[in-house]
Amino acid sequence: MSKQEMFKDRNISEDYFFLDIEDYPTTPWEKFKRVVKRSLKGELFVGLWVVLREMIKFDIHTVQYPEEKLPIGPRYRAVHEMKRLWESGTERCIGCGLCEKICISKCIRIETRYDENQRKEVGEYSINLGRCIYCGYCAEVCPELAITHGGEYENASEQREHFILYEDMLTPIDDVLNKKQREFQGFGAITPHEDERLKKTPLAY
Amino acid sequence: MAQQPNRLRPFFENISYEREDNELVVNFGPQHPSAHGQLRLMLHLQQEQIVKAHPDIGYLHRGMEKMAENMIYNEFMPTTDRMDYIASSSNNYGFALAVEKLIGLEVPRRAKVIRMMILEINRLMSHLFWLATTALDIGAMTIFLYAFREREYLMDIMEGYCGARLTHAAIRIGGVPLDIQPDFLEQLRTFLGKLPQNIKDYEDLLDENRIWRMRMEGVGYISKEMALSWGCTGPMLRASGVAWDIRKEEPYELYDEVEFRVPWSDKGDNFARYRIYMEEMRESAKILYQCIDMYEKCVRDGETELMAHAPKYISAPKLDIMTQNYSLMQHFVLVTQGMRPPVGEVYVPTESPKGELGYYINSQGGPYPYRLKLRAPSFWHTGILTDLLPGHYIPDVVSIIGTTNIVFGEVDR
Repeated sequence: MSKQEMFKDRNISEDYFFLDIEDYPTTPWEKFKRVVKRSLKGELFVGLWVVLREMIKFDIHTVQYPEEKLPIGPRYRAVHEMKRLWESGTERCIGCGLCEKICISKCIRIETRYDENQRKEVGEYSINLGRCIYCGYCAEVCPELAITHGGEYENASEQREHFILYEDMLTPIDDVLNKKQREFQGFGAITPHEDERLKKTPLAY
Repeated sequence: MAQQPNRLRPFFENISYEREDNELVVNFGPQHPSAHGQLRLMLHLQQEQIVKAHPDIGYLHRGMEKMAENMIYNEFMPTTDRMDYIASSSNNYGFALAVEKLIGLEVPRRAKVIRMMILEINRLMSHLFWLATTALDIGAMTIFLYAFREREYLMDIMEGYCGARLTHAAIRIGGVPLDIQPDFLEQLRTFLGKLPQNIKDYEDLLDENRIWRMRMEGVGYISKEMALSWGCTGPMLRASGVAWDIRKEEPYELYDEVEFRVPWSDKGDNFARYRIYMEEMRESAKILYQCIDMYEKCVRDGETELMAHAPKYISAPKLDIMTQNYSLMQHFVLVTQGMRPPVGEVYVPTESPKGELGYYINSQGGPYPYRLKLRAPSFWHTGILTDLLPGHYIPDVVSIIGTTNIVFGEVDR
């Protein structure tokens, strides 16, 4: 079949259906007839009834925002958090810099240095929340589940630049010790029950 | 009238217009609330009638095609969100599909089903938004409030899935980043249960409403030839007598496995487009019901993979990254250097809610695309305004712009 033929009888295909829209009136007499027909059908009252029905249902969903707040889901992407390890409470971030590399809006800045034991240590870590687009890529690439998003979304400020530092994002140590730290379930999280497919390396021989 | 602009006498756009007979030049936008973002229309008027229309675009230009040339493939994904920001996942999807075709990836079935659900949710969101804003432009504020209420449920579902309401970034090259949240299907079923009644309410309010009919019937007529020559796609084309839907013509994802039909009409005016949008919402609901069944079958069959397995291009799942050294190394290379698709070029069209959304990618084997071209439907639908508006009156402009459903993130890119 040539290409031209392919396009010829397209409109009778099973995949499509023709919308039956009645012809519009053209002559004044037809227009008048339609007005009368409509009025007798009470088209005005159909619309009024729909609105009235919604009104008397009292099915009101308005949230009085500053007083009441909707719960934020566990995957919500708002201001970042830095997590700690559950067992020891030490910081998870190893300073690899993947989040800085992937960041689309270049709002993450990380500086690392050697500590006294010649181990890598995170020095300055800041996120410019004014530039951040909350795409969730930093949480997605983090190999240690260290940087995640949190549920804190009320971060209006007076100027565009709004830097948040490592210490501000870090979970307080007491929260970890009291098991209050919440794991982020959104981008970059481990799929639940995925560890079941994992074969553990036999340690004992 | 030629002008010699200098620093003391800058170029005045309107001077030359004023000197021609008695045409009045009106700038419609770029801040007009019904101009759907940053559209500026220069309208030449004879009395109330438009004799010449000149859409002026570029007020939201961000240079996305150039940005893409300086980004690794994964990094570009959140940027595509900002094109058609009403249905951002459909843009993500188009890009992901193009790159997958370029590197020849097969996406796991479960990811495909989730993608389909996200795509159709986005289509519903976009159509509800279209209905709301168009009705508001024309003066039916009730519809605006009702349609936004329904859209809110969908946004909540998407928020639960990916954590964002507008710029989802919910699709990745090679699959989806997350499984759906536990209450996703339940929420979706509740919504779909209510949707037919909601659509019926909109139609009760609008279909027989004489003001709505007057603003819609016979206004903005696009003939078949005109639609084809201006490159219209999506509902704009289907309202003008061409049954054409990429989901049917070149089925991608699992669209050849679901049963749905695409409406078309030969009226070509605003009213036909309105009816097509309404019918498409019903069809989307049908697709979503089938997707729910498909997803449950995937769960029963024990298909758990969400990302394609291709270590050369796609990072391993997070658990592997955290436990296996080789996966971790791959992950570092893929994040810091980016994937390197083979040399080649690809054009992949998808049916976004507004029409044919196509991505052309030219890869020279490097981590950045050599050239990336976006074919956004709204751009072509803005172009047709030049030809469509003359002969209409000022109030018709608003309803025509409404039914063309142009979104300026997509036009200017």
